[in-house]
This record gives sequence, C-alpha cells and structure tokens, in this order.
Amino acid sequence: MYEVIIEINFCILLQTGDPIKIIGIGDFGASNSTGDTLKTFALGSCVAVIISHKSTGTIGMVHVALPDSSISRTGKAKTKPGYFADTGIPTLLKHMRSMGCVGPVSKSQFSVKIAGGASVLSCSDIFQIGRKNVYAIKNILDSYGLNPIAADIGGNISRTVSIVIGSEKISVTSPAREEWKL
Amino acid sequence: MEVMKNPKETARKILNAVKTVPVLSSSAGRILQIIDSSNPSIAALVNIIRNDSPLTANILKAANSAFYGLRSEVSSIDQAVPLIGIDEVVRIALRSGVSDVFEKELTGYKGVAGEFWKHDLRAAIASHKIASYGRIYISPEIAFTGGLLHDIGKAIVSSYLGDVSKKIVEAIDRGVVKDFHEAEKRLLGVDHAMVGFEVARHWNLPEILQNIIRYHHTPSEAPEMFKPIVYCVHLGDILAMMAGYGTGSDTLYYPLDDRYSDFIDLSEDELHLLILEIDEKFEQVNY
Ligand SMILES: [Fe+2]
Ligand SMILES: [Fe+2]
Repeated sequence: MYEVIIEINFCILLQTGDPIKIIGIGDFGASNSTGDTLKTFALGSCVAVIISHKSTGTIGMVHVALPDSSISRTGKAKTKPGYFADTGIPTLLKHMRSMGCVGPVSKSQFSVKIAGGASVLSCSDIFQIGRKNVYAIKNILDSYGLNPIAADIGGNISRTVSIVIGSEKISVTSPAREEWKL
Repeated sequence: MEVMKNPKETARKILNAVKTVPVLSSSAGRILQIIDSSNPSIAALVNIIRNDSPLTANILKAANSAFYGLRSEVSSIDQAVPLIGIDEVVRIALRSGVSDVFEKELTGYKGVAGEFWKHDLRAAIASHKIASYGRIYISPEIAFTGGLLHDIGKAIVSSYLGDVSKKIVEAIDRGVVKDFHEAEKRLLGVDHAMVGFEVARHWNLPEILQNIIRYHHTPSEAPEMFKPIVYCVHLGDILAMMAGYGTGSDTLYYPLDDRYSDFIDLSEDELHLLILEIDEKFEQVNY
C-alpha cells in the first residue's frame, strides 16, 4: 500500500498496487512498502536526491531541476516545490515526516544519496546548472546537519536512477553503458 | 577507438541513402517557405492547409483539444490557425509531412521509440524562447522550425552506427576523441549535421533551415548572416539535452560554443527562468 500523498496538487498520484513510482521533473515521492520502486528518468543537469529513514525503512526521492526558487514569478515553488533545491528538500522531508519518519532530522536517522548534475562539454559558467544544483542541494542538506553519504554526479552522463524500497543500493543507468550501483 | 574499415566508403553509402528519404509533403514544404518569408501571414498558411484534408483534420483536432478550452467547436481552418498559432501549425505539418522519420527509433544511438521527436520538440520550444534574447532580431518561428529539424540527419546516420555507440562513449570518456560529433566524422566519414544538411537540400528547405541543420554543432562555422539563429538553435539543442531530453548515447556529448554570447544576451537568472518556461510549454504541447 502506498501512503496517500497529502499535497495532491503537486504530487504524482499512482494507482495503489503499482510497484513503480515514476518521479518526473520537479516531482517527489516516498514509500515504505518493501518491493516498491522509486524511479526517475534521464536526469541531465537535474539532480535526484534520495533520502532514507533508517528506523521506518522509508525512502523518498525528489527530482530537482534548478537551485533556487526565487527566480519564479509564477509561484512554481508552491505548485511544484520539488523543482528547486531550496524548496524540494524541505518538502520531501516534510512529506516523509508525515509518513511517520519522526524525530529530529539528523545523520543518525536520515541518510542521503545524490545522483545527476551532468553537463554538456562546456566552459560557460552560467550553463553549469548541474554543478549549481549540487552545490545548492549540499547547502540545504547542511542546514539540516545532513550530507550525502554517496554521490554520482557531474560528467556528461544523463542518468536514470531507481531504488527498490528495502534495498540499500541505488541503480544508475545511462544509454550505451552497463548499469552501476550507488 | 575502432574505426570502421573505410569511412569514405561509409560516407558515400550514407549520402546515397539520403536520396531515398521520402520527399516532404508539398503542404509541409510550402508552409516552411512561408515561415521563411519576412512576414509569415496566417492567410497564406490557411490557403495551403485548406487544400490538404488530412492536415486540415489534424489542425482542427488540435484547435478543439481540451488545452484551448473553447465552449463551441472550431470547425473552420480560418478560426483554427490563429487560435493555435504558427508553431503549432509547423509542428503538426512536419510530424505528419515527413512520413514517419520522427517516429524512428534511433537504435544506433541506443535511443528508444518516441525519444527522437521529444528531443526535437524540446529543442524547438527552447529555440523559440531563446530567440527573444537575440542581440539582433531572430525569428522565433524559424528558430522553432529549425529546432524541430536540426537532428534530422540522425534518422539516417543511426542505421550506420551499428553497435559502436558504446565504444564511442568509452573513447570520449578516455579522451581519445573529443565529442560525439567528431566521433561520427571519424567513424563514418560524415556526421549527422552534414547528413541532415543533405536531407534539407533533398527536401528543398529554405536556405536558413539548411544552415541551422548543418551548423548546429559547429555554429562558429556558419555564414555570418545565419550565425544568430544557428547559435540560437545550438543553445536550444543543448538545453533539451540538459533537461534529460536527448536521443540516447550521444546526449550531452557535444560542446557548447561560448561565443553564443556574441549573438544571445542571457543572464543566469534569465537562463533559469527560461528552463522553467520551456518545461511548462513542453508539458502543454507534448501530446
Ligand atoms: Fe545534433
Ligand atoms: Fe539535438
């Protein structure tokens, strides 16, 4: 059974019983049912942040596209908070807490992995959006006293990332490459 | 890197294959000529569409889609065209007017079905939006059309890549070859931009579209008069790949030419906002 996602307007809703939750750009989701999969496709410069809560076995994922929500003048941070690092991580944590991941947010209970943040072959600073996403994500995590225990970031690799609830490792794939684990 | 036995011979075969590509539907061809005119008129588009009943049906269908939320049905092409706009007309005309080229699964690039069209559409939307940041005027409609067509050469090159894209990726990672564009040239004797240019000539596309296709990975080599729009589509292509909309194994393995800033004036905040807007627009039209 999936937990009902409270913020209906900006969460992906899937039929109960579907074991794979697809997390689109700017979406987030979490599950504590062993065997469920959280998956996000082709990250490019986007970054997937995967947060595990140890005592409940809940795993959450958010697909961050941009570092900072202040650029949006149309209230995107409200309709799709997962889109930005500064709103996505707090929203995912809040959502996980609503699923029973209670207690103070600390390294002893929460562990974080990140993947993505790629770029094209470029020297242009403003196009290093992947790197800037990673930087912003690490800053936000730091404000919670968290830091990623594993990261597969950068390079010119568009990563597809998935994790099965109950397992430790994240699967990473990319066209014309063998799958690897994180 | 393993280089195919004879790149020259392969290039000859590929360029010969261009001649077998089905021609563009006559209405799609005429629509592109109109887009290229200095002042594309809705009336002229309407006249072409009217004589092509499958296209008329598709355009009416789009105008009556839920997206426009109209209470009464749009039954005439005169109403439908201004409602959906020029980009939508181009999108619909090209998707149905180039037989099933965009539907092709780019197996040589390890692409999956549907990916090619999504990449092109994403690049088209991005190019349209980037056009408004041109230091001089860049036609958003031509930028959109160029974005849709820029990778058309991949539809042919894909079949000749066989199983080597994995080796190309490894070679780029090891620094043996600098990018995918270079790898295609070395392996096949010709790259997808050049093959696309040949397709564009075969289709008699306006010169500006031929140049966008030919130079989208090497914009600095484009003739001076076309540089602003070539750089515009160059960036549109890159933004599509950065958003994860590529065509398979070559995604992101292309260089960004920083000299774009001679033609496009884009601040960091504007770029972020642009990415957001491209995402929103893509959600609307990707059906
Ligand atoms: Fe290309
Ligand atoms: Fe492309």
